[in-house]
Amino acid sequence: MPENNSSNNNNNTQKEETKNNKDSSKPIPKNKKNEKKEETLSPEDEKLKNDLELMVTRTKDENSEIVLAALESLKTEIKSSTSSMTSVPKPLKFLRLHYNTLVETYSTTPEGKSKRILSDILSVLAMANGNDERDTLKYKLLGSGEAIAAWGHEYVRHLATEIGVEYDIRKEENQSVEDLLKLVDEIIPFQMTHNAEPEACDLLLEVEQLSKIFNFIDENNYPRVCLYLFNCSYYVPGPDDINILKICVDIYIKMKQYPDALRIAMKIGDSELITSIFKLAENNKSVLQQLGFLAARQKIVPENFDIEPIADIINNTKLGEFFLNLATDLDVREPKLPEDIFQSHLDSTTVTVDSARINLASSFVNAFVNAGFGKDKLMTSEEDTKWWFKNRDLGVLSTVASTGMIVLWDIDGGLTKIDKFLCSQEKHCSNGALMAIGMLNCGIRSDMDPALALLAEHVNGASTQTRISAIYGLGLAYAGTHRQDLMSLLSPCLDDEKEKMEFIGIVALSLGLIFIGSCDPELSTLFVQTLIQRGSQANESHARFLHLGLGLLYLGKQDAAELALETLKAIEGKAGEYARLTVEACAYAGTGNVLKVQNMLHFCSDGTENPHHGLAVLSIALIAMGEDLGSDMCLRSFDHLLQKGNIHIKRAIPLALGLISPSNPRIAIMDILSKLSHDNDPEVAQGAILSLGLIGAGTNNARIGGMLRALAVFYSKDVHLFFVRIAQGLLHMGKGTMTINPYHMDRSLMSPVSVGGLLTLLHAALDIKNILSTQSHYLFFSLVCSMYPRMLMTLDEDLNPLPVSVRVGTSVDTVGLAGKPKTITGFQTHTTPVLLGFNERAELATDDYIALTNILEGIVILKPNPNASSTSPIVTSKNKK
Amino acid sequence: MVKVVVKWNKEKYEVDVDPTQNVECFKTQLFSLTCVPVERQKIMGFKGGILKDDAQWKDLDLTEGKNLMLVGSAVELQKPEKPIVFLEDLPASKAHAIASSLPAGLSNLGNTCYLNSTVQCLKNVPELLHVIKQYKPKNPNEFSTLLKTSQTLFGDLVKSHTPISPFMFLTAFRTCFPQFAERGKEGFLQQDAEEAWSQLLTAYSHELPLEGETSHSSDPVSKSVIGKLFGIQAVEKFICKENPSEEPTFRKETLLKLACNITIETSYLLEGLKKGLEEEITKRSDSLGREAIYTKKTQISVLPQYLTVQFVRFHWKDTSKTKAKIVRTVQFPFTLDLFDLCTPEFQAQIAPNRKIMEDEFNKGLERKRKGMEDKEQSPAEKKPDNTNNNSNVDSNLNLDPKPNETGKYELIGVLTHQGRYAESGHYVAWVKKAEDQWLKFDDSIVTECNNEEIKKLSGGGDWHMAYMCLYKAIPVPKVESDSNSTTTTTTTSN
Repeated sequence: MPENNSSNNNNNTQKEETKNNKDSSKPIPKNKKNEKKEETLSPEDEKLKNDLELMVTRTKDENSEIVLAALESLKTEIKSSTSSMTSVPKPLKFLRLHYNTLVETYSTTPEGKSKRILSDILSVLAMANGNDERDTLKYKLLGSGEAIAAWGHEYVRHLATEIGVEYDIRKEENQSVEDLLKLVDEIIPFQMTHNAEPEACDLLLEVEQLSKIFNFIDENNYPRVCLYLFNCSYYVPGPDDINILKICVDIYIKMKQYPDALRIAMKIGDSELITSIFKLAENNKSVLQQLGFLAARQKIVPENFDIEPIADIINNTKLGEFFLNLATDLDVREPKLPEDIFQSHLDSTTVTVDSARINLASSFVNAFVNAGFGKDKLMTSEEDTKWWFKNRDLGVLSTVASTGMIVLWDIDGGLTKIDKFLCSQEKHCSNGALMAIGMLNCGIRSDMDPALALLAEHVNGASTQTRISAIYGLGLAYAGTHRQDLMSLLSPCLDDEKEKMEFIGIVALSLGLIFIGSCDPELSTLFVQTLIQRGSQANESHARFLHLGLGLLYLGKQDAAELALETLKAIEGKAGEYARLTVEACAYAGTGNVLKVQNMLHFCSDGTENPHHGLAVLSIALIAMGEDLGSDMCLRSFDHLLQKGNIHIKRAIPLALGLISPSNPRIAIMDILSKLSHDNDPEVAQGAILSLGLIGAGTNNARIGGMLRALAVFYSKDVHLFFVRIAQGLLHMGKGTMTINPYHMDRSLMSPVSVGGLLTLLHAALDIKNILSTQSHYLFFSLVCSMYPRMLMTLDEDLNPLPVSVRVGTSVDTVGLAGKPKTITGFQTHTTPVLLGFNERAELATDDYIALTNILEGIVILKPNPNASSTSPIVTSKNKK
Repeated sequence: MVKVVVKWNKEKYEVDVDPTQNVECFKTQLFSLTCVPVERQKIMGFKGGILKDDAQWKDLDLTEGKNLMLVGSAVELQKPEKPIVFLEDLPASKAHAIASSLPAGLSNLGNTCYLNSTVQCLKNVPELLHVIKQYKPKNPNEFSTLLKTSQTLFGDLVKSHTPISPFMFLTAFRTCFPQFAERGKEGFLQQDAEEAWSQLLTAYSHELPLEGETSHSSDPVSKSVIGKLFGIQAVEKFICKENPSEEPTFRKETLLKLACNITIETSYLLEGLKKGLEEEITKRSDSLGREAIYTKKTQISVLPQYLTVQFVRFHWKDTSKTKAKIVRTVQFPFTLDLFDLCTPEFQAQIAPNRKIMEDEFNKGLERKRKGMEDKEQSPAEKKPDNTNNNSNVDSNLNLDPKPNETGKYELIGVLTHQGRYAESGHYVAWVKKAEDQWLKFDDSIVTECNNEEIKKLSGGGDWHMAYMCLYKAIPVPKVESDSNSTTTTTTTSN
């Protein structure tokens, strides 16, 4: 670096010179080189240079006083000139030639004040005279210990870099680092007060003293520090990342930013920490409520904490109400028919006779589109359309179950609407009703526990299908609740030797969903045992759910899965391999762990035709998701895999793309999927079509819409049409008001339950032919775990909707930027409630209110701003997004 | 008495529970409030899930003000009476038929597009299909073989939705007319579609005599079903040019098609037709006792149900020994009026019908003028479908086809040629399906198109251009009905 600087400097002076010359005689370009050699300096520079040279000569003087005086004036010259931003200060440049002279002088100078001063000077000069020997640091340590600030910002930065390197070397050689740390203590305050928080964090991270930052936090710099640290944590290997996050939490707690603290604590997944944050906010009702909304979004309940005051919030009791509020405001409550989505009258795909498959697709579409609205035109309408009857066998089951999605989150009103199906004599119909009951309770807690009450007796029902429906329903309803009573109810089912693999798979899946991320050792052992017992059936398609159930237990828990992985080594052959892949991928879900990704890539490129390669591809996406850099790298490696990989890899790639960016229609991914959707292999094409739906889920994206309509015409006579229809339903999920992306809170927090839902569907899609398009299409409903309104709704302190104007725009990465940079760009002003896209952020457009959380997303409580300016700008915009 | 709050369907009811009574009694109380039948009531809120009928109050955690939840409804789920037939339940062929609404095409068996397009055009005459379907061979000969194969072919065509390969038919056809079996270096040669068309009809006329026809005419065509359907009865008037005093002679003739002669001035079909009906011939004059030049004027005395028009686009070029093509644009109307070409007697005969038609049309116009509220009933849109829709063929089928009573025709089929010579290039059939809906039969490929596409077939370039046109008679409107059917005349090609 320093060399560069100096050469730059040369150029600069040269330019200046040419400028000067311009007046007298035009310089001839050819002579440029010559000019450079015989630099002509301006009179002032000439004088400065001569002065400096004189001083350097004097430092060699015998008379120590003259030496001292010379050094002092050198120091003054240097200090007074460090202000320039663009080039190396002149004194440094001129002195550069004399650096070696000064070093020699230094070695001969006797110990004493002048030697120390000379050392200081050398330390500064070393910056411009750099080599790899960290002279700046060396002479600094030998110097007078003068305040570093005096030498300017650049010097401090330089010093910090060298400390980092030196620290590593000394640690390796087990030398003392005391003196370095002392220097660090001096540097940090300087950096923290001079807009260099990221550098301070870096330095502390390098010398492993991050906790020291705590002392320098104030209300101005904490957002930048925390943001920087938080984003660092992605690139720091465990367990350091957790430590960094914990420091973030401490900082937030210190600054009384409890919602932010809770957000990070939930990311760590430390239940004690979560409870402690709730306890801190116990006396502040509004803040506690805000915390409640955050926890409810993540579907967790603080342990050992009396949630009574905010029970309604934590239990998500009013989620449906809020959603309907949003829908009313956006004027989308009117139910839609699948045909409104297909618009098949525009193409020639209308078929006169009822096709069971297309009717089933319509049922799914109807459910996705009208999800949560409580009203549709096929299943719950006043006049009985008998739509359910227009389906066959298992189609009836899924169709009736779809009612659960329509009345999603509405325990009071919804159960009655399902009741009539429950009493039906038709087996598939009543089974579907069981599933519907489970679905409607998804993510909602109630004292009455209607799902458990109604489903429990059917868990050991007469037919396998009834049992599956009830158990799957329970799995959806209680996903992420870790309820022990459910374990004792469901786990005996795994031992049922009469039942086939489909049943076992669903039981394991449901338990996995309920105990997601719990690392429950008892269940883990049970699953592994079942795997061993069922060794002979391990190759059946539904066996994957047993593996997935095991994996879900360790979702995102990284090292905690090691033990399970060890035990799985006991299972030999392909089955064991599948289980290990699943568990490993789940354990590192969303961590971006590069080593694990590499392992998976290696596995994929072993040159054999292993059907498990598909799973590995999906695993890569699972590990890399949620973090921009990682997912971009993922796209690149998929490109290679697509060209070189075998058919199993090719089939999994569209699914992996769907997992990496659900509800986030990125053009690059869209293009790949569009290409794959015309693939000759039906499973590749069907997977790509499904993934087009996933990446566009709930966005109403016009481009995907167009693609799907074209595909509907193209595949009008194929099985593919079923998936095209489903994808169309997904695209318009909740009429464009929902998201299935597991990341929320400004993309910082991953919802495990939501990942679980997505994973279930994608694992099912790994064998699209035998699972999704034939017998187990009800697995599409696992998406219900991932569905959430993509809204910003503002409430007043009494939890009544409070419309305010907000600016919504594309989010800007502000990590490591000084000051208060703009966080959004290209914004529009709207009145809440508004919809937020995946890459969008919102900020209040009025200062009448203060939001209780810094991230405006989901449900946010506002309190009046005591310092509001009296004339707030009236910005209202009717056009909602 | 213990007061509990029961929540049902978003409503709350306060109910007094008498702990001395059994659960059933409580349920009856709820029934009176909510009308939910007792057996369908599911009460939640107590420990252990749903409240069981045999539960004892003392075993339950019944407390004052306890919140309970009732699930249940009085709604009965109804089943439709008729089971639904699903596409997947149908046999594969039928399922396919429903899935694709387009009729089948014909595979090209090596330069056979001339025959394919001819067959597709003729398929559009339901009466013909009907008689062919009924056909039973009397004495087997090559023509009857052709008819039998035609029978199979048309039968398949109506049913199938996948391309058919007409091997049998082609073989039979070539046996009857060996000139079509001409071979070149690379297999069979392309042939003239018009020739195939006339030969096919000739063959049919041999085997399909009209029942009870007593006419002594020597011409087999006129006494066959073909003659009845396609035959144009014309009166030919011969005037001797060289001896004006000679009495004009008349001759009755049955034509199967009208020719549209194309000269440098011809721009419209009717002009060409008129030219075709007036020609100069040489024949022996009795009065002069030698060959003399006569003017032959043809006038139509009876118009058939189906009118075939041929554009005489090919003329023999001695220099190149080929049939070269006239590419001049000749526009053909969607509705053709042949009144001017008829004999005065026939004109008088159909005049009243035309009057009715005109009145109906004017009425339609008036209605249109009167109210914009009838807008959607405008003739173009609400016209009854009087073209051959496969589905209603049988009901519409007129087994005793009447001749045209109005002199007006609508276009139902176009056979086009693309290329420069009759024996090369490509033939395609364009058949009307419904108003503004046409089917393009390009051998095995069948696609849909609209009127605009048909208008482009008038020639003038290297695009497909009309070579044969098939017109169907527009019947006299039924006066008493409120139909707008007559107003088809509004649709003309230019």
